[in-house]
Amino acid sequence: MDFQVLSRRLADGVQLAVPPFVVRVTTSLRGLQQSFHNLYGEFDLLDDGEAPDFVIRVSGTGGPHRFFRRQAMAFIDTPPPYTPLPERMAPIMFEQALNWCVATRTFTHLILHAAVVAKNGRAVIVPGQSGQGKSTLCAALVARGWRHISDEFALMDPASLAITAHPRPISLKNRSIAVVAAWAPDMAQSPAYEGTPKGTIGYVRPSRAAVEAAPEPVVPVAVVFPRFDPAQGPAFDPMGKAAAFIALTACSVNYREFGQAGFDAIGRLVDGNPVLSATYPDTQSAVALLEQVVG
Amino acid sequence: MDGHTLRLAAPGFLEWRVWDDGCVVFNAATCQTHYLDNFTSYLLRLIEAAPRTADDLTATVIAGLGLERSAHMDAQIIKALRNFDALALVVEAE
Repeated sequence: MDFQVLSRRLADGVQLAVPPFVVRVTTSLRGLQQSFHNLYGEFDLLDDGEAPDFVIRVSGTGGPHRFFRRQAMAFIDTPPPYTPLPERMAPIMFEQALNWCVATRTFTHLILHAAVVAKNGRAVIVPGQSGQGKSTLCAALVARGWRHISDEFALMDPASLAITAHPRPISLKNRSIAVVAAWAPDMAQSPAYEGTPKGTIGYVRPSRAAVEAAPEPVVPVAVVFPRFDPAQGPAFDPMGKAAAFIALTACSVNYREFGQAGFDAIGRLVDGNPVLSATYPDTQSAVALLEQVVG
Repeated sequence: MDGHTLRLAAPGFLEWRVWDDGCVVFNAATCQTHYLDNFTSYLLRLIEAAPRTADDLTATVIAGLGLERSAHMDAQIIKALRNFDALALVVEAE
């Protein structure tokens, strides 16, 4: 879509399909509008009649900050649990707000803090807290033809264990930005945002293929906890099932809300799939390890 | 607690998943999930089967696992029972 058209629509509020959700986004901030044009260019805009799951407005904060060090703030219909960022970081503010919406307002799926990628229909869950390498691995695999299902949240149906795709811009931090740029020079990345609370952050633009495939759920064939260690050779270690269960519940943002259904789902996920710890010293060996997992 | 008979706080509300490296138990009465190592889960299974005192448990462990009674074993059992109590898994039987 032409940037001027998108800019006008964003200023009035636009319904954006971010599978499986509909997000109403309103912003007049030029930097965020440009970021949308870049990072969400492959996503569909919907008619206003489509009911949104989440409503996010990102704007300046007003007050004295209007005159110096302009800030951006995302507004949802309840007070968000984070502080404003400098206006140039509005795209990060938007991604944070959308993450918060997904994590706190999704009641249909058991959510794991995990990347999910698939090859030939065989999906691998890569859990991990922020900074453990899951997004870097996700971007590296997507660059080698794997399907991009999610880099942040595994949205799992607790009954079938099927995972609903939630492709979004892949968030890279600090050294990972250069690692992915070197690994996949043709992958479209946003500008790097320096000086954020988590250091430097950049995003990889999702492909149209990832967005178009989103309605098709996947069933996991393995769970792989990534561990980057430059001093170790590449290796898999099978995890004990009880330890894997506890690690997965620790990665879930809404396990408790599902009660026994969540307990059963994680138990079946662990019982039905290999759960591995993958240690690797570099991107190439990490990708090779994951290739082994899906055969 | 040491001399009292203990029973499950919510009989019929525990769901178990047991593996080689330990087990997890879901207490539907509190909506809490607990990780238990093999020895601790064995103790809770015994209490689930029938209310017991610490001495009953010790005697059953000695007979069942073929171990000798020791101060270390007594301490482990008392520690486990206190944890069960703190986690609202057991209560004193009437």
